[in-house]
Amino acid sequence: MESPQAVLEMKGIRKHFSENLVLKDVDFTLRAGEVHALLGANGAGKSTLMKIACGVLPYDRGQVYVRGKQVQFRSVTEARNAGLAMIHQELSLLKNRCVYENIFMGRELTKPGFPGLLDEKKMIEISRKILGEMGYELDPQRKTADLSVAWQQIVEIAKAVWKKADIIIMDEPTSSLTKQETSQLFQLIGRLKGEGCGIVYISHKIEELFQIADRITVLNQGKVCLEKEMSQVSKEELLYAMTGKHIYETRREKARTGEGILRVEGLGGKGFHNCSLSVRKGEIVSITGIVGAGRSELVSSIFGINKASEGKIFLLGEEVPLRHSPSYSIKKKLGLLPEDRKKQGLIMGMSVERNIVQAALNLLFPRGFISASAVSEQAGKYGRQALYQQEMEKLPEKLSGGNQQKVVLAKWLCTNCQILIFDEPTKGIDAAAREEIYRLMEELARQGKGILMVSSDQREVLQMSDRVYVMKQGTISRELKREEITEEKIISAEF
Amino acid sequence: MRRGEKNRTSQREGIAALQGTIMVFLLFSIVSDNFFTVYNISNVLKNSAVLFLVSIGITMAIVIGCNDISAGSVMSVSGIITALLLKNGFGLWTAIAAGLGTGILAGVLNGILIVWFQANFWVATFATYSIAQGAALVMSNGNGIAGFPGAFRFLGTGRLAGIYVIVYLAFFMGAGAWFLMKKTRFGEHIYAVGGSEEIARLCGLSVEKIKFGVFVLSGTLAGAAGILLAAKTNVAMPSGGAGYEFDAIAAAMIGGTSLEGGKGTIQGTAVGVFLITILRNGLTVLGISSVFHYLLIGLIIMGVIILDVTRTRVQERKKGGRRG
Repeated sequence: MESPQAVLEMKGIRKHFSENLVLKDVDFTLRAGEVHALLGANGAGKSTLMKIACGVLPYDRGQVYVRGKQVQFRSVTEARNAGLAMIHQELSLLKNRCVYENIFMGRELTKPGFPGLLDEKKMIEISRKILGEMGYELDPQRKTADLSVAWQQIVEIAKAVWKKADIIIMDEPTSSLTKQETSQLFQLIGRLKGEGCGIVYISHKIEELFQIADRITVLNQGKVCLEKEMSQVSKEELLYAMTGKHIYETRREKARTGEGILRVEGLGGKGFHNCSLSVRKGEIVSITGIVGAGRSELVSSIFGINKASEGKIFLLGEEVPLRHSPSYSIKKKLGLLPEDRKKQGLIMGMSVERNIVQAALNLLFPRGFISASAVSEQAGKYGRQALYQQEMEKLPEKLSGGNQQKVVLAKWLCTNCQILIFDEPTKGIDAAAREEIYRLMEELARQGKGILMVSSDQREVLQMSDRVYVMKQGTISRELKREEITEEKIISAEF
Repeated sequence: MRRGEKNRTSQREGIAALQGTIMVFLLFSIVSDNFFTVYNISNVLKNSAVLFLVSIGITMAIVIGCNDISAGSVMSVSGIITALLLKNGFGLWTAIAAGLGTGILAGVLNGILIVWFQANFWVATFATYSIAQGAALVMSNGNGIAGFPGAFRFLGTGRLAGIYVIVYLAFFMGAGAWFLMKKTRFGEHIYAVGGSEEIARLCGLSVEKIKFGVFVLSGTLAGAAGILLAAKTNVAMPSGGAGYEFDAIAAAMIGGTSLEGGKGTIQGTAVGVFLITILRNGLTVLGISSVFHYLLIGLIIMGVIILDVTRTRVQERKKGGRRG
């Protein structure tokens, strides 16, 4: 699909993170005056590809051309000077500064003849003009923190417009916009398109893409598996392209489940609302959904890190106060294995043994005096199920991701937890260690513990789950029983 | 209409401290006959001047998201060096230049540690604090150096049109700093880096250069404060500047500078400086022991922190509500 008017061309881009090849010779072309949608499941490589285009990430192989000229950006500034602007999902505006200050940040106008002296008047004037030409009336002197997300996005786009960017990449721009705000944004995109800008539009909302995009590229596991005019594809075709065909043989056998040990009714809070779910003894239940659907927010409210504002939580049949603390949850035999093990799961400078007993200190040493030999004994009891002695003596930072996860797991077993929440249990863990983690999870379920797993990994959800809850836009959109779990059903509930 | 709103919000932060200062001022004026006198008020202004100079530098360091606890002992060492040169017959300007140079050097040292070696700013400025204090003690043999030529003393105690020279100096420095923070690209970038280093970098700012510049400025201002302290008191003590750094941090915080970075103004700090100086002065005039000064200032800072935290929590709750 070569085209003379291509503004951005990427050819044979290859990129790996540690041992994982995340982009496998990807080709991507953006033409002037088109909106090009980029679609793919979590981890398909969309954001990575665009970060490479913008000079945020380096790449291993391949070429990037901007307006026909080969480029190799070493920094964001270089890419920006070439006319590329990326509007990140987390907006990069300074909340304490005014609108015009953000628009001009890093490229301030100064008074002629006085280098370093800001020309506020002119910047305010130009900001007002840019915003006006975009069709918005916004006082450039408003503080950014006082603006809604939608307005902040408009400021972010004004920033790109002022920099005369003609290649604009939008990463999930509508994830926190209302319907009306979304249609306003689409008008703006239409106008930019008319002026000849090429726009890359990353989104999970397929319906939106049919409204706004001219062409679409679908990535699946780091490969382009579809590139077409938007008018020539159907939703089914896109879903199929995103998932491809996988055969899952190693599905775990049906569990023998007991009474319910975790029940949540109509739970709501920041980022999620009206969520109800339950977990029984011996059951592995998954929560899946796209990034930003509110999965982590939901489970961290159940555990008590974030506070829920409405609904009910029952642990082991007892109602738990909504604004409970994690230490209360631990007392009620609930444990959380966080997604970010390095930051939230382990104390890196402390030995593996001491990490394992960390959450159980009150339980093991109620009088407050800690005995080193008892620590070793307890840690050994739970740690050695999964780890070798030589690993027990190391510091956690020296362990592989898989072994770190095992340490976190041992920590919760040490507190005698009955309910375990795994947030992305195998993220960043290699294939062999994954299987070991799965084996441990199955073993725990067999012992009668209840497991709630948050996962973006389709394969893992299909392989491990007795039941699946699918989350969409902050609430549970579908519950799938064991015999109903198929990839197609999950995906169609996600989008 | 909207512009008016904006101005009101940006000023509101400093206004509580200003109201507090005026209240304390009125309170002392009523309670004590000796407080609201020409002599005492010009004394308050004189005492504020030195603290204000250090506070300007520290405010900038806090706004950029760091802090500078070396400032007090940098004051001491630059005072000692200036005094030694004066005592050994060097000219006035040479001595002052050497004092300022010492401050610049200390700032460069902080900058190198923080920017080049990526040291934590507490650790880095603590190291400089210790080195500067040590140097001051070694050079002075632990003794104060007293008795300076009249021209030098004029800086600290001389008057022009009834107002102390040192007050003019502080005023002009403050005005300059206000201009720098508010009207120049450099100032804008200080706020940006303090707001978020990552975003600043994404906007193409050279975070390292800006940080380095702020620490050099802070060191220079501490040097100037040390020189003026010696001129004002007619003696350079090896620990003359001790404690000024914490008064300065307190002044900045009272004036609305957030330790999180990215927020704070020079005029706010000026209010904080006045509040602290008036408290110290007023309590002395009333004959209350200095033990209580610390207690009271501590309580006030505690109040400011509590106010600050509740305010942010209320704001967050409002935002959360809007989203839900």
